[in-house]
Amino acid sequence: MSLPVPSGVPGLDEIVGGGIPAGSCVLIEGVPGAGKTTLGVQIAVSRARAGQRCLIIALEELPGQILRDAANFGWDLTDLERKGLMTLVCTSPDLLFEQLESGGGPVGTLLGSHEVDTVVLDSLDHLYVYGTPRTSQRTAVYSLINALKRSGVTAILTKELHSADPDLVPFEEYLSDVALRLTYELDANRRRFRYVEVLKSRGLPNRSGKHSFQITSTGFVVYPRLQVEPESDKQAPQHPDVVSSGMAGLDQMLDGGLPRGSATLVAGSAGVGKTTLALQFICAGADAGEPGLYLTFEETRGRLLQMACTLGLDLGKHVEQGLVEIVHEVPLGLDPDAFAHRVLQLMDELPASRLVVDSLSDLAAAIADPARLRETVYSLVENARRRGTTAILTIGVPELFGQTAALPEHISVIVDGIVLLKYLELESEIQRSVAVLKMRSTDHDKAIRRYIIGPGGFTVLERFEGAEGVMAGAPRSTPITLAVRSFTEFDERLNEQLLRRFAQINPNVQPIPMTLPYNPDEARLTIERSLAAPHTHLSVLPLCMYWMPQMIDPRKLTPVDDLCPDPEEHLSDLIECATVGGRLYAVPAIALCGVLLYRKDLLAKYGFETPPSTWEEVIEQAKTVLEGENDPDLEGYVFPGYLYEGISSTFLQNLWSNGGDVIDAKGHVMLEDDAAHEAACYMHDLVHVHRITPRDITGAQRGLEPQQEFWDGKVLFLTMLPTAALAMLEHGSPLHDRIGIAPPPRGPRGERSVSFLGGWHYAVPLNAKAPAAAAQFIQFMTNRQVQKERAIRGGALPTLKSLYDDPELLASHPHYHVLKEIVFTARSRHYIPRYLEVSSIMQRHLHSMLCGSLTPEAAVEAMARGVRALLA
Amino acid sequence: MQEKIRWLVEEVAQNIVGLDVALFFQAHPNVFDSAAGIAMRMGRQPEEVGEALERLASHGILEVYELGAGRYRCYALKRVEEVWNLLCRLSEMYLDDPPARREIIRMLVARVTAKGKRKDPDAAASEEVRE
Repeated sequence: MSLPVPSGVPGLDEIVGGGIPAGSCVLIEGVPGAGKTTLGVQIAVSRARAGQRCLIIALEELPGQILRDAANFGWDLTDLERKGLMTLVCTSPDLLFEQLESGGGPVGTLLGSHEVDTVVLDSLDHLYVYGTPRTSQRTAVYSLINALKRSGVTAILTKELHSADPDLVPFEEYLSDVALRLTYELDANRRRFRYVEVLKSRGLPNRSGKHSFQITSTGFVVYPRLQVEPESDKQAPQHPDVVSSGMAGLDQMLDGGLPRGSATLVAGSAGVGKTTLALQFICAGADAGEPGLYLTFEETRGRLLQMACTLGLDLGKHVEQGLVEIVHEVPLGLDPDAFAHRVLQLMDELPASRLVVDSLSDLAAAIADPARLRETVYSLVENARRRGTTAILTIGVPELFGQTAALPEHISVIVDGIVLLKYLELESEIQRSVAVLKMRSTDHDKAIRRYIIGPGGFTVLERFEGAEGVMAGAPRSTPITLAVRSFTEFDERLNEQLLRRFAQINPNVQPIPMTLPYNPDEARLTIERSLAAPHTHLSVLPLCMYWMPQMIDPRKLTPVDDLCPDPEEHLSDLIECATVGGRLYAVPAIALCGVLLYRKDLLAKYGFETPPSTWEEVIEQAKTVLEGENDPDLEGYVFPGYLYEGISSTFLQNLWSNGGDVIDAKGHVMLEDDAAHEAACYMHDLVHVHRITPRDITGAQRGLEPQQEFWDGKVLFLTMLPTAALAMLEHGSPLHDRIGIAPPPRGPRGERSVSFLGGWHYAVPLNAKAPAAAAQFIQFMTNRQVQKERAIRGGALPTLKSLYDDPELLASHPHYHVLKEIVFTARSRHYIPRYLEVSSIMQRHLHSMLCGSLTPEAAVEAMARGVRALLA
Repeated sequence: MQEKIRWLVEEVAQNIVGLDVALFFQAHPNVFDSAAGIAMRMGRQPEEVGEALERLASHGILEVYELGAGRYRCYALKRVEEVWNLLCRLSEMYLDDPPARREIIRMLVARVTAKGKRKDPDAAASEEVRE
């Protein structure tokens, strides 16, 4: 045998290994009506048209019939005969053998001339006289094939199959080089499809399996089953980008869009918007100049154009311009292989960047066999992917409401992504939800979101907050956790009341308060864990002001500019620290500062009419009162000495009030200068020299929350937040009218008293479960009314500057005259680079100093060294 | 009616079987077969077909081949333009021209009657209809 030559039958060469080997014997077997003769004649005509001489020997069919049948396919055998390229002979089997043996007659003469390229013999069955033993039949065929091969022709022999039994192996197959079996089979839908199978292809790699073929007006067309070759590393896309779905909200859910070359299944019940989504997808591509192919089974081309027009999409224009091709197929009678080939051909012709198959449910109606459906979809998806074509395949689900039954597993594993669209009943209203169940290699949104379909098309809205069971179609209310910051038990009760009121105003939200640890460093760990988690149960994050430079991250927080329409009304530092790139990421809720709380009654008793304004006065007044009272339970001066942020902020307050700083304007570390040294000495000496401060302020009990002893009347001076004093009334302390609030005392180098400014903000994490409820909550907790009410009731300080002059507030709390001065001149810590780490260094060495392990000199040197190394 | 056609009908075909064989070769000019094979394809008795084939061959309409040392006597249409045109004309008259068809049948019936055989026009017409 020689190299394969083209058969001239579209698709046939692909399945037989490239063509029909010259000089070979090809057996075409099939049931009646399968098209054996047509295929044989088509091959002969093709060869004749290529200039090769062919002979058709009809043992059964009369030549006139063959001529007429050929003419129906546009093959003019008479013309070919006239040109000497085709000879048609109708003869009897015994005469055929005689001609082959003797070399006489038209057959023998032609073959003897060695000018014939191809012989078609139709059919072998007529060689067998009734009752001829099988062994003789085999001998006859063997003899015939050898005679033909001696002549050097390519022999095409047809043979009837009397049974469609796939296990049947006619002996003729053993004698031939290529064996093709044509069948005409009923599918599960009682429709007949034609298949060709290569049973044998000696010496050539054939494509196994049954391949569809059709007998068209131009003859046989074979549609080889699509197959996917293993992909080499070079072919595999290394860095796939994304393409827009045409719906901004859906793109966000998909982590930017659909990965290019991916296939996404859009599942949903009838009328839920699958086709709308698909239309937007195809039009978005065309808008960007990307050609798209839309395969529709249910909706006609006209209906689709009308739908698109209603949605305001330019589909008609794109179709006119050739950017979008709409193909409408009727599922009934659809040949899967022919369909798949047509799709690939169209994809290549466009060439299509986007593909829509709308819908797989209709395709499944055409392909009753699930395995065949899977194979077809897989081939389409994989071929699309290798072309870089992004595909959306829609599929219907039977349930209008309620739990969606499992999607066909054989399909869902093929696709890269699954988007589920559902109806649901909520608040006596039919609503629609969208969820991305799967999207390979992306960090897609896990939320279930509401969407609407309007003139603009498919618009994704907010997630279903406060509702569980949405996917099951039966949503029920669910609590939402809203974390709040409380500083005292009173503060906590106040916050609980506010939350209850918020819940009354917003009945859809059932807030669960979560009180953060008092220690802001521990609170920070809680918040950081929430931000790092893929999804947090905290919809609102309280953020402390001094964390801000390192906590405000646009990749983790939602901008909240809309929730703070008048930022200039807040203390400017509180806004500045929460702003990145011109966007606000946290709304100020409460302000803080350090103050000196003192016992007015005790100072007055010993002749001190004003609280101490300098360190010297602190020491003098404390010593005087302690000596006079001679009460072993009375402490002179307590300040936060525990290993936490409080010790750093106390030191900073002293440092700034002594004219010092951590860094200068050029960023140089200043912690070794005299001001720093004196501030450290002051804190050290209060404990170890003057002994007016107890040593155990370094422990958690007294050094972390020392206000309780102050409320009990056992402390003269306390450096603390003003809330500690403001809450005394609510706490029921008998001393509540004997407490004074003063600015932090100055050091010898200090020209003025400087406190630290702190505060707490509310932010919404990007991974929040209920961002809409969070926004409502933030607006509620930060509005003027709530800030004022909280301040009047003795809670945290307002962030709104104007409230410090509010007559009602001043009438309730005259301290606000002093507090205004302190707050408005206080310094924030966020100007210090990497403050969290700087504070950590200061905490460690200051704590060691107060414990007596380090001298003040050693402590400031160590702090300076550590901070300098950190900021280098 | 053309003289050649009259000759073909009366002298060559001579009867309805002969006419049938002539029309068969016009419809299937590629047949190369024995009398038995042709008779099988035509659904007639080999003997009567054989007689007709011999007449057509003797008048130069068909060619005769001997194969297998005389075991097989085969017939094929003579590939001559004049013969082909004559058969085509006969076919047109018989199949597409009813008056001509009736005339051909009358000619055959008359010939049979003239030969004194018991075959009346009605029987010939019945045979025609059957064909």
